[in-house]
Amino acid sequence: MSLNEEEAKKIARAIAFGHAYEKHAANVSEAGELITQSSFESLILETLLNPEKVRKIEAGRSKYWNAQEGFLVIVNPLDPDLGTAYWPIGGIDGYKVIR
Amino acid sequence: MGTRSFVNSVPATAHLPGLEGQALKLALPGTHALLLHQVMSVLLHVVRGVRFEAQIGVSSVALEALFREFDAWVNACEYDSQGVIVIRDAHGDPISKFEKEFEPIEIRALRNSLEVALLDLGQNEFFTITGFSLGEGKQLLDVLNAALLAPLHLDEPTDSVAH
Repeated sequence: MSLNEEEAKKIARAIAFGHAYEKHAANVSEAGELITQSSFESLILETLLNPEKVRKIEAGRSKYWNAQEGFLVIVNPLDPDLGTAYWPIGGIDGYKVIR
Repeated sequence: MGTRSFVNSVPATAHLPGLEGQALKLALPGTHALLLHQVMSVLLHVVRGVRFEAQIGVSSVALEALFREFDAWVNACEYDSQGVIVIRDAHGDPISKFEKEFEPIEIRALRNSLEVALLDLGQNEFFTITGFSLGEGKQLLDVLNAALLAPLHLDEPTDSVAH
């Protein structure tokens, strides 16, 4: 579950340049401000390398929580985009309920 | 004075078209209960702009209350040494059940929540966020639809009406 920098970079790039940017961050992001795809990638990478909370969840996935940004990354090795990332409504409660 | 007062809430006992039927006790396999838990959490924490009354059939407060019942069950489940919920046996079959007597309006809210989550998350995100495939979601949708139509007793043989 602990990722080295190379793994984390690969996952961050796949998520940021996959469906997640369009769904959660394009135009005005769920964080309420404009965010570029490269900034989205940096935020995902920062979250994967320095999560405040991290936990394995069902079906081989893992979740990573960035408390400062209220940002959640779900890593799913079975997804072509390797996962998703978003700002849950209700902050950390949105992290806790993902099983 | 030309002012009129409107009744803006429907009493729980009022007749609602299409919501006849008695409370129905469902014993949901653990996998279905976890999927419904995840689906409700998606509506409450992921999807923005949900119009709860119109799309789900209950208010966000009512859905949150239903979610809390499932959440208590999920929290009481067994977890492995890595903190992953244990919901299936070695063969992949569900190992526990969530039993509750549901009002028809609750089953409809669960069914509508599942449909909205399936359509909103779609192929890209449904599995990643819920941990279940779209096919498993569809299977559960069929179960809930069947439960909603239970008052019609469609599973019982009937005489032909053909002449």
